[in-house]
Amino acid sequence: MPYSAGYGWGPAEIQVLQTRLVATCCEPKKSVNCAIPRIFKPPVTTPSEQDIQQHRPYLLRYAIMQLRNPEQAEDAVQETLLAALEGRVRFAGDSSLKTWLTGILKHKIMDALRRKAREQPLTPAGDDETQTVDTLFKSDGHWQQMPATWGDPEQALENRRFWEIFELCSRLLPERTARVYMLREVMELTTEEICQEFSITPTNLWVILHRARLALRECLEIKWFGAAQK
Amino acid sequence: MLLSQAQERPLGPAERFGVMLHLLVCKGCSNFRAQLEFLRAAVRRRRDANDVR
Repeated sequence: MPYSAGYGWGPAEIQVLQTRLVATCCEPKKSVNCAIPRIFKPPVTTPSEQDIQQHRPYLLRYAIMQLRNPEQAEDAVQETLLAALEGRVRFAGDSSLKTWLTGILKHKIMDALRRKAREQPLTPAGDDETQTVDTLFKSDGHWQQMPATWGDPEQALENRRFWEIFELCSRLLPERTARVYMLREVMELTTEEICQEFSITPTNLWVILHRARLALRECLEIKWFGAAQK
Repeated sequence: MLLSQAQERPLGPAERFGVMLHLLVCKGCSNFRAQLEFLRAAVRRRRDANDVR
């Protein structure tokens, strides 16, 4: 239980105590660690079931984007909410409730991805993955067709139609390419984390990411930027 | 491929120099690089938009 609750101390008293504490601990030797002990943190209220539930829609969207499977996403969110309800007294208030819940969800998504990986192990790149790359480059490694400039692509970000095409193009990525790419770009996992997750080498990973970017670029080029310029 | 890798790790001096030289002569490649940056920005923007909604 937070200290303040039992002793009837309000924020003002705590403030005074903190000032004194910092003063006494810092003055003789500036180098000592002046971190304020945890007990002086403002009291944290345990989130109610309702507080937690209201983040459900957000968590679900997040999970669907990651897992690309509504049922698995639903499961992951369900597990997250359960875990959060059971462990809500441990919510420390260091971050917002939403961030805390998302943190739990990320673990659940990881679990789901791991299960998925076990069920259908990552096979070497399928034909659909290599094909894109093959058709884009000549045998000597030069571009079949040089990428043309996209003008001011920032404008597209304001266009609803562009986002529909963007969604479509992301869905066209081969399953495992998309999974790896989203972990990297959306979850911003590091190279090491992803390599560990999928048991692949950094070089493998770079190739997969490169293919994802090439394919996405090509798709947008054809369906949006190329069409817009004509 | 190196341009894509540059989004994952800092390139070494030799690699950077090579890329720079190549970009000077390859207009398509600088376009490609700009497009890579745009893709990253777009993906993150979509994520953040989903966060707020």
